[in-house]
Amino acid sequence: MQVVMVCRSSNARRTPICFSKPLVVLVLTTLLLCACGGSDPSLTDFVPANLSRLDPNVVALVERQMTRVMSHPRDGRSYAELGMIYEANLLWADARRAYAAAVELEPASTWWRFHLAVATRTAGDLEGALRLLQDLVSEHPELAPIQQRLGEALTKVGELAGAAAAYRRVIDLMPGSPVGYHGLGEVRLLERNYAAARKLLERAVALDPGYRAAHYSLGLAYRGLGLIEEAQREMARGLDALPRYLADPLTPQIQGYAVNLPAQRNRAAVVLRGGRPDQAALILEQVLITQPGNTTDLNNLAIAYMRMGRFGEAQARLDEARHMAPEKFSTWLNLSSLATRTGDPEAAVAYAETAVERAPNMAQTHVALAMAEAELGHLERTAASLESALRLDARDPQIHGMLAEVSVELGRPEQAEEHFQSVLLILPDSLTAVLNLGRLYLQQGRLDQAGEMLVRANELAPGNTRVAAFELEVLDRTPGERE
Amino acid sequence: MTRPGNVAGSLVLALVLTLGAGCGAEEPGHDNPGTPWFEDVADEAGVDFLHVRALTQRYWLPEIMSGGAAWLDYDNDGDPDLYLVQGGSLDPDDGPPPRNRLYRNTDGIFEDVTDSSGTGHTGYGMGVAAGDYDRDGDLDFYVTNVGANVLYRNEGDGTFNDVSTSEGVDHPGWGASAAWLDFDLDGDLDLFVTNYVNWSPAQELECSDGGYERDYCHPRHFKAPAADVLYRNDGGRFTNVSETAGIWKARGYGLGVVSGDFNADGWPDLYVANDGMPNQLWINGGDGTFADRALITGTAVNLSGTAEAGMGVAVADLEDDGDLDLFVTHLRGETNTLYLNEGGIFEDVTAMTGLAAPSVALTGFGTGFVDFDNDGHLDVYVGNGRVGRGLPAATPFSEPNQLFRGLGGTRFELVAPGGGTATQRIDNTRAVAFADYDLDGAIDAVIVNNGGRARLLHNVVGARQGWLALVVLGRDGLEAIGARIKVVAGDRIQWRTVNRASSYLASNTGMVHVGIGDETVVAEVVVHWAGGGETSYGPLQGGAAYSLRRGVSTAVRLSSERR
Repeated sequence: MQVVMVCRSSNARRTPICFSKPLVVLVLTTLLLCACGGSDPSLTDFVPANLSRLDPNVVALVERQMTRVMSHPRDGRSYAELGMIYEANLLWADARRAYAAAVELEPASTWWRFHLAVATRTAGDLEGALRLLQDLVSEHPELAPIQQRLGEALTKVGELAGAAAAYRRVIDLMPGSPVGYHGLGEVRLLERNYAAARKLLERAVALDPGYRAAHYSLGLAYRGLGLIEEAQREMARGLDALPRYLADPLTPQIQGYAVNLPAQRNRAAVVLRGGRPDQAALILEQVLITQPGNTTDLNNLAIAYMRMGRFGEAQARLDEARHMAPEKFSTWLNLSSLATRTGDPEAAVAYAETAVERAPNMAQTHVALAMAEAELGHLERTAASLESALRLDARDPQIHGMLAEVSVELGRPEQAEEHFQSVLLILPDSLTAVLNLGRLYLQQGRLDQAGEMLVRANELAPGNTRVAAFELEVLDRTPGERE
Repeated sequence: MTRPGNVAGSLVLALVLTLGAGCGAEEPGHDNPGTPWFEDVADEAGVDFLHVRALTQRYWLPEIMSGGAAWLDYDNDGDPDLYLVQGGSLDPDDGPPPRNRLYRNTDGIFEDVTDSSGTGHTGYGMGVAAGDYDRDGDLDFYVTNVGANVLYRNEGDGTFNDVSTSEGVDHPGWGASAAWLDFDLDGDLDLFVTNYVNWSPAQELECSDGGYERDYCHPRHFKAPAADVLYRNDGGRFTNVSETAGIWKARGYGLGVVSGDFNADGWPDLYVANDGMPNQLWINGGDGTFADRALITGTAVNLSGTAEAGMGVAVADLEDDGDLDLFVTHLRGETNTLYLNEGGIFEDVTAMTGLAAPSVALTGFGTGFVDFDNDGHLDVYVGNGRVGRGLPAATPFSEPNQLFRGLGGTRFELVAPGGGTATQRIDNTRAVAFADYDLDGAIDAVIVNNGGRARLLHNVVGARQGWLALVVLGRDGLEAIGARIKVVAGDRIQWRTVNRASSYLASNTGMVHVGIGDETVVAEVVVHWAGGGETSYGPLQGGAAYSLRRGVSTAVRLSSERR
């Protein structure tokens, strides 16, 4: 019988790789050895059907773990860890199969069973997950993560009484966590019991003011009680929330297994945002070894290098991206940014103009041109570019803010005020916008309105040094002081 | 579920087959238990449309979003004809692209009249909206494209003229769903067009499927939401009033749109489903302006505050309380969402409907509330299909469609056989449009599948129970878009609206259809005309179609040959 070996054909960008060769050899060898009888695993069922298309980092992990599985075919842990690898890399159907095998071998393992339920739910079988969770909860009612997932699943299928009971247990078990209060609050919302929902959700946001989903739900409760202003505020705070799940003992290990390309890119983005460009660079350098032709990765690596001050390396990456795909506007944007950092503002403008040509309907290209023009002190052109950006995206507070500041520089206080006000309409909690508007009022001698901004700033950030500084400015201008 | 500890020599073969998977012919589907509601008659009826995702697949986002459909009786012979929108090519170097197609319906057989009609546009098509914009008595239609949109004016002689440029409606963005509505109640149809992403090949990104292979990006990766467009029609001439209307400032990844009077103030509003961003509910101020009230009305996001995918939209009065409820289809991993209208404020009641759990594993697109079995309760059809690679299969983006039987109000149950057909088809569905194409009193459906064959689902259950069909016309004898109809049969009161736009990239019949179950007589029909006024008709015989014209106090029964 001829075995099909899956080998990727070589091209200029990728090294020929037969991903599954070692795995196939190992699996076949084991199968042949076991063909004489006995009860060894059906290993092919645990190898993803799309193995040849997977990220090589994932394949490497899978191969390593499959070796352990084959060495210990009756050990549930081997399968469970395989399940964790799949789960971490979003291969939910494969995770489900692996966890199921683990559970069959060692039915007493609570957390493997829990993650089987999670994988089952995420793979789209809500009712299957529900059965698993119900079994788990009956055996381990003291485990809050399981109760939370059960509550969520029961809510989704409209079994509100059961969902309420589950969330009450979460509250009992973890009274300092907002999650139980939020879940039970949602149940009360579905029951149209807005007063009860309000109490629960106010508790949730008090425990964690950053819990956006709870803010949104609280807004719905307020709305149900006719408190429209409060509802508007809370719903706005919670808009575009993400679900939040309690961690369990396997969570750290699973997170460590997230090695596929999207996970790596996400991690790079997170650490970059978190102020660690060095870590982002390490991640992206590895990603580019795997997938050398990706201009998005090249651009992101260049950004990391720029933030580390490694401008030469940034330039090299951007030149590579530009050579590969000169039509991509993002490369020209980053070239402009780099030119600014390296003290070549004329080049920055030229690059930004190219970005605008490539993507005239993207607000960010016009913003980049504005920033480049600002470096040269061309305030009128800066304003014009920002106006163009605003026509494309009138809801971007950054653009409004920049245009407001340029308007101040250009001696256009009315326009400045309009744009600072726009920022506050979009971001009512923006301390920067409040202080900027306050200072504008001060400049114009509008002390009452400056005072209002001071009050608002103090409400937003009591004790903040910037607010304190502004307060001094206001006091300095208050009548009764010397001219 | 796999049992560890079993070995068979055939596993080697399984390994071979597994590793070699990914190539092969189209999956034919599998046998389905249960009584079918539909039979796919596309072949017999002559609907031989094959949607082309891309002449050269580059994993550019438009490729996976395309495929629209419209029912329109363009020749006024009484039965709805069909217009299907093609994808094709986004690169002129790829070669001659395929065309959109117009099929004329004659007694349930469809003839391709694209050439003679002049409607075979070759742009990279998305959706289509039918409406008589020039009020000359024949239906025109608007095609959205990645690139300039097209307005085809019906010349009344079987031909159409592309008047996009002269009318100023050739918006160059990435148009998705469009809706005709009379937002200023001046008697002619205005046009709202959703735009998806500010996209060009230069902005395309390289995303992967979680592994090594290229895949389609999520629109959020582009960070380029587009603005929608509103054109006001003044006697057949259009003006872009997006700015004065107040909608130009909003941005979103607009895909689905429906119009309706959501706050019952007499003025038609608009609901836009945005992909991965909060939706918009544009409430008509009655003065030419709109305000987005999605947040406070609870229709921007789901119960938990999460912005969901938002592709197709269906609208109907599910509780027969006189207000319009909304249903939005979403991505795999999310549930489709049902917003129940409680006097202008909406509640996400999805969890209580039976629609949540079955939708988690699937990505929904075209959808609609239709009483397919004529039992008096609205059912729901959902066309599904992926936007990213799934496991290797002959058709990696394909998923099964779903049919839910209405149990009354907001309760539904999943119908077996899956999708309502004897053999469950596994397709990559986009547009689903509804009409009674064979005039038997049962609503049928056409499905456009991205990168696949269109399907024509002939309804085989509806004729068993009572029904009523209404053509609702204004004083000028033209379709009264926006009119709300109350139908009283037995102890039931049902509400319908004259409206073509809903679903995804689709345009439905303008005829109003009501299932009346065991009833044989409709005691009363009251038409609440857009802009005010109402007329009462009846009693009307069930199992028949009638024309109701404003200013004419009696209903005119239509023969089965013409409605």
